[in-house]
Formats: sequence, C-alpha cells, structure tokens
Amino acid sequence: MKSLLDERHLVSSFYVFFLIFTNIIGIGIMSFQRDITKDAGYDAWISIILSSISIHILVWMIYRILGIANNDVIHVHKFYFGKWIGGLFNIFVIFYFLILALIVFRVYIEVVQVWLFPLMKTWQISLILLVLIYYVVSGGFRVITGMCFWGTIIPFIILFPLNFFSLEFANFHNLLPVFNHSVKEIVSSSKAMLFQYVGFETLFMFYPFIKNPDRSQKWAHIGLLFSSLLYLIIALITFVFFSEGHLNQTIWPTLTQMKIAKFPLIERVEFIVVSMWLLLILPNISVKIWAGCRAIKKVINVKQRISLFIVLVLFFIIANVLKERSQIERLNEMYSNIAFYFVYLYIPFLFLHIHIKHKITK
Amino acid sequence: MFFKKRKIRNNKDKQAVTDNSQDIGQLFAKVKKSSDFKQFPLTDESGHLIISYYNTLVDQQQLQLKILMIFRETPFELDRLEKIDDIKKIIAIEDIVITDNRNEAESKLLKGYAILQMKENDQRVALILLSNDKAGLREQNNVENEFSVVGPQIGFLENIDVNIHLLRQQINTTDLITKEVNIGSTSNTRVIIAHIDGITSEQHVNTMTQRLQDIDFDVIFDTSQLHQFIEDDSLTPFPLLLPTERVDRVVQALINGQVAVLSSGSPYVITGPSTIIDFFISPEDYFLPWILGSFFRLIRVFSVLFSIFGTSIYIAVITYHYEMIPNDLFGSLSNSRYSVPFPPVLEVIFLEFTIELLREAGVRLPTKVGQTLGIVGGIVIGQASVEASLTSNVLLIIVALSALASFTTPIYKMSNTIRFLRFPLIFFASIWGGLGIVIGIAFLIIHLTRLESLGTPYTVPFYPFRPEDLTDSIIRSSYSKTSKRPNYLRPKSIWRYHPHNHKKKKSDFDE
Repeated sequence: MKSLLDERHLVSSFYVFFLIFTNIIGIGIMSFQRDITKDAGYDAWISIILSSISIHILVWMIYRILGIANNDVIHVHKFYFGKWIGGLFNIFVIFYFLILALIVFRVYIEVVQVWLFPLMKTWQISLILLVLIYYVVSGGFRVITGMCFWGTIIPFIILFPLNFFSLEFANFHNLLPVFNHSVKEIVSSSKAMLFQYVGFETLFMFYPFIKNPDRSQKWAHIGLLFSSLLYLIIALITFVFFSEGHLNQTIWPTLTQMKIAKFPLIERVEFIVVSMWLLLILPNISVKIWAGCRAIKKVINVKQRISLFIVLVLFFIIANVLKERSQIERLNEMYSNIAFYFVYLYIPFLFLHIHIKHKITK
Repeated sequence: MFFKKRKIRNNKDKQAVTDNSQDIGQLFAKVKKSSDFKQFPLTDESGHLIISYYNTLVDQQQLQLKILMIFRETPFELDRLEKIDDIKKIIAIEDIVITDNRNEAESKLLKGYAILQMKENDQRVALILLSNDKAGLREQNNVENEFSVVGPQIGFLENIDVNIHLLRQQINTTDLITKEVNIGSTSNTRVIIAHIDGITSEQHVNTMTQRLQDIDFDVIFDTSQLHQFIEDDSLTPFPLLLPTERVDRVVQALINGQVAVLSSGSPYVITGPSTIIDFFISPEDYFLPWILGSFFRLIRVFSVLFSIFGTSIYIAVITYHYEMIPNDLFGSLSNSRYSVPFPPVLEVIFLEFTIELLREAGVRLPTKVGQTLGIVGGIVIGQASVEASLTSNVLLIIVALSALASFTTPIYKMSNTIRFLRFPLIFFASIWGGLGIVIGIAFLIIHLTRLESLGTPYTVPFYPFRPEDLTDSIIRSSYSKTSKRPNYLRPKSIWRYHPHNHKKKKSDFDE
C-alpha cells in the first residue's frame, strides 16, 4: 500500500509501540487504583485484564477501519457520511482529542502544585509547559515520535524500579480472598479502568504517518499489552502495600508508594518522580494536540502552526480558569462518560458501517 | 535620482565588459604597482621572450634551474621556438598552460605561475607553474589538541596537498575521490571534498558539494567557517559536523561512508554526516582492548552527563528540595554552607564564572605561563573563596569536577557546547528546582531530536532506533562485531571486512 505522505514525514512501524504506550500511560497511572477499587475492591486486577482485552479488540477494529480507507478518520468520516454529518463527527473528534489533552495537562499541573511547589501559580507553570509543547508539536510528527521514544525509555528506566521498594512492607494477604465480588462489580470497575486506556484512539489520526501500516498492528498490540502489564504490576503492588481503607483515603497511591524508596544520597524520591513524570506527560499531551491540530487542518484547512498557537492560548486560559479540584474532577467525569460511548459504541458502529458499505460497493 | 543611479550602474556594466576584453598588457599595468612583481626579457633581445611573475609566489630555485639556465647558459637557438606553443618542448616543467584568456592568466599568476610571452603585447601566453607551496608553512604535524596516548600522533597541516597525501597513504585505493571547489571571492581558497567511491552514498556527496558551491564569502580562513556555512541549522549550540585534526579519525570516517572536507590553509578537516555519539568517540578506543575501550567510552558519557547536570542539581536540591538530603549528609552539607551569605544560584554562577575565566585566560596566555597560572589561580582562588566564605567546599568540588569532566570529550567543539549547556540548566534549576531541570532536559531532547546533519538525524542510532548500529556507539564492541558499516549513513556496500568466525565448539571444561 502506498502512503499519501512524503517519505520524510513517516515513522517506521516499530514506533507505534511507543506512540500507543505514551498515549495510554499518562496522568492516570498515578491515581487509577482508587477509582477501580471503588466497586471491585481488591479483585480489581481482574478488571484491568478485562478492559485490556476489550481495548485489544477495539484496536483491531481501528486497524480494519483505517486499513480499508488507508487514510485517517477525518477522511473516513467525510467519505462515508458526507460533508455535513461527517463534518459534525470531525468537529467532535477535534474536541475529543483536545479536551483529553487539556485534562492531562491540568491534572499534571495540579500534581506539581500539590507535591512540588504548593505556592506556584498556575499561569507560571502552564506558560513554560505550553512553550515546551509548542516546541515539540511544531517539530512535526517525527519529533513527537522521538519525544514518545525518549519519554518511554527514560522514565521507565528511572521510575519503574522505584515501585518495588514498597514491597518491603507488602502484605500479600490483602489480595485474598480472590473472586469475592460479583460480575457486575467487576464490570463496573472495568468501566472505570477504561478511562485509563483512553488516548489510544489517536491511532485514528497518526495511522497515515506510519511507514508500513499493515505491519504496525503487531506493535500496537504489543504497546497495549505492555501498558496493561504496567497497570497490572503497579495495581498489584498498591494492593499489597495499602489496606483497602487506606487506599480509599489516598488520591495518588502510585506516588505514595514510590516515596518509600531511600538511597544513601537521596531521600524523598517523589520530587524526582513528579519532575521526571513530565517526560511522560509531554509526549502524551503533544500527540493529542497534534492530532487535534491535524484534524483542524483537514477539516477547515487552517495552517497547523496557526491552529496550534490558538489551541495553546486556549489551553492557557482554560487551565487558569479551572481552579478548584472539584471542577477538574467534574470535567474528568463528563469526559470519561463521553469517552466510554465514543470507544465502546462509536468505534464498533463505524467498524460495522464501513464493513457493510465496503461489501455493498464490492 | 533613480534615473541617475541607473545610469551609473550602466556605466559600471560597461566597464565590466571592457574589463573582460582587456588584454594582457593592461593586466601587467595593474600588477606592476606591486613591488614584488618582476618582468624582464629572458634573452638579450629586448621586447622578446618576456617573463613575468610574482617574486614572492614562485620558487626561485626552479626559476633558475628550469628556465633561466635554458635561455641564458648555452647559446640558445631561437628558431626552435617559433610559436609560444613550442615552449612545452623546451622547458621541463609538467604544468604549462598556453592561453590567451586574460582572466585565466590573472588567476594563475596569483597561484604562483610565471607568464611567458614571445613578444611584448602578445596575447597568447604560456603559463608555467613555478609555485612555492611549502614556503611559510609549519613542518611539524604532531597532533596538538586531540592527543591520544596510544596510536599514531599524526595530524593534518595547513598544506592541503600534504593532507591529501596523508589520506592517500592510508586509503590506498583509486576509489578515494577528491573533488575540488574554489571558495571565497578574495581568497579563492582550494577546498577539497573527499569520499570513497562505491562506499559513500551519493546523496551525502551531492549535498555537501551543493552546499559548498552555494557559499558566497570573501576569505575562508579555516574549515570551521565552512562548517558554519554548510550546517543544516545554525540556531544550535551543537556542532553538526565533526571537525578533527587527526588523520586516523578522518580515515575512519571515510571508510565508514562519510564525506570529508579539506580546505587549504586549515589543519582541521570536517567530516559528516555525523551523529552526537561521534563526538564522544576517541580513536584511542579502537587501539585499546574492546572492554577497556567501552569502559572509557562509558566514563566519557557519564562525565558529560555529570558536567551538564552537576551544578544545576546542586542548586535545585539546596534551594528547593532540601528534604531530599538524608540526615547523615545534611550535617556536612549545611556545615559547608553555614557561613555563605548568598543563595546557591549566585554561589554557583560565581564559581562557574571563575572556572570559565581561568579556561579562557589559559588559552590566551603563552603556554609556559598559562599552565602555572591555571594551577595557581585555580587552587588559590578556590581555596581563598572558600575561606572567605563566598562559596561552599562541596560546591567547589562539584564545579571543579564538572569542569574537568567537560574536557573528557575528545572534540573541542563539543566540550565548548557542554560547558555552554550548563548555564540554561542553572537558570531553569534556580527558578523551578527539579522540575526546571527536567524542563531543561525536555528542551534538550526535543532540540536534539529536531537536529539533522546533512539530512541525517543527529541522534541516530538511538532515535531513530537502529539496534544493528549500536555495536559501535556507547560501547565499542570487539572487531568481529563491528565489521559492518553503520546503516544510517546509507553506504553502498555494507561490509567493511569479513571477520573469520572460528566458532568455538562449546565443549565441557576439560575436553
């Protein structure tokens, strides 16, 4: 299959792994444990596996959809739904990506304010981060992918091992008894877990930028597997470290359990963790903003440089307007509902619709 | 006004046209203004067989032996020389050009040719090469700045022909192609692009040639100037092509499929496309056993990281994250900073500035004074500033170590870059602490990812990730593993050599 874009802008299929991984692992991994244990208790690890399987199926569907069209979702919408309905869908897609980026951006600022600099003003930190994001996104997709690559490797090497220090105080009996929650509870906890996987849909946008898209599906699944394994390992460590009552009181369990690590030269590693987290957050936000700007370009033909600038200014304003944690949480909740329907209803619908149309035209 | 200007330009154009049509006589009229220009008839007959040359550009001995001897000593038969074209039969010099082109005559005259005319005001002249290339150049070609303990100590010279000779000695094949370009409207410097045919990708050679030909500049002093003109991106502290004075480095680069650019009058040769890891490779790594070579390379990489981040981490920890210091360490740290009145940033900037001052002064001072002054200045100033409680002991150690560490990079240009990079990081660390350092790291990573050298990504083989090229990057694998050329250079043939693979049979201990 020939690509529509210049070879210079493409990345090889291997990088889909990093793109998927950084898109999934963002801000959620610091705090997902509390949300998923609300319903399923310490059986929630089952729901991590269940939701991971469902996402695998969705990724497979996305590859089918885009494989038939051999273009991104904007083109698919225009082609199969016409100019107006398709355009409506496209505007939805733009907002979908940009709001997701905004949530990650705002929550990270909150983490910084809580854990690092309680007195830091939102506008200061958001300004420098937005400059950074502009620098990444304006470099084009190859640079964003490069940032995904480094943002996967450096934090993984430095931060991941810190999780295991808390095993010193592990209580493995916390996990027992297994399967003492009903199916309904586990399913509703899976629904909570779903939001942690949101972000993989950027695949809809960057698919044409992959060199051999057909061969990249393997890497997408591996990336997904890898991130769900990471969720699983961290969740299990949290479950054996915290008691259930304690976990309910903890907003960022991953950070709290990493704090345990101690070295002869450094204590209180959470300062390093929160700072280093930026390297993961940055590509995460950048890919989504890039996807949004790319969609804007394809819908209303505005230069990406201009739309990026406008989007970042809007980010700056909105991030400063959202002051209270409750506001952020409300936005988050609303968004995760929309994301749920988008992922579980809209993607299968699109899949079926395109397959049927494809069959008919054949 | 506009009309007037146009008129003037028209006049100028006309002049230019007449300039071209000027004959040799007018050229002589112009050059005769210089005192080192000589013109006289070779025979007794005046106005006949006139030779003209710059006294300072030609080799006197050659002039006497090859030309004056022939025409003056034996009775010379003039009938042997009917036309100027016959001069080739008489004078035993290889490079004689017969021309009636005034411009060619002028440029060759300036390159050390002598002009021979049959009669005064003859348009058709012979240009005879008598140039004295070696005059005024140094003879010693020891490596001075990229010293290594093991291995050859031969460096390049200002003489471009000697440099090519040095290359040809090691790359003993007709495939070594040298392409010549003249750059500089005033200096007319010879610049040579060397590559190995059948190995180097045509794309690199073409890009390099194209960029060099596009240069418009007056005097080229050094290849490092060319380097700045042909870089992909000038808005970066990183050198995007590798300058070196070592012959073995350039040979290695050519063998791997890179392009080298030599310039007359410059002992530095630039090679490209290069990657960031090239700047941390010393030729010595290849002369040591691979385990040691890899170990030293790793030390170099870590020392560079320390050099960049050492002082900024100190600032971040002391200013914002003092909770990170364990109790046992806190005592000694706070003791050393107890009487220092400044915030850590000022303390660091003061010391870093001192070190930069010592280095800069050390370079400018004469060698003998420089060394003493460096040591005395470093120790005395350091010790005194601690005693005067301007800085803390711990910081003195960190700054001195990071200055030392920055000099472990084999390429001087890169060590400059590393010393520079510290300052933005110090700035970020003083504002946002640990987060600021990571913001700095993020900027650095994005910047590096965006860079390209002759169209090749700068951070290859890490990103774009090429595992097969990692064998000779951060670690130097044994020669049996590095038999292939790096893939990112897109060489035309991938194998450098074919190692004998004696596969040792894995048997039990004693059998």
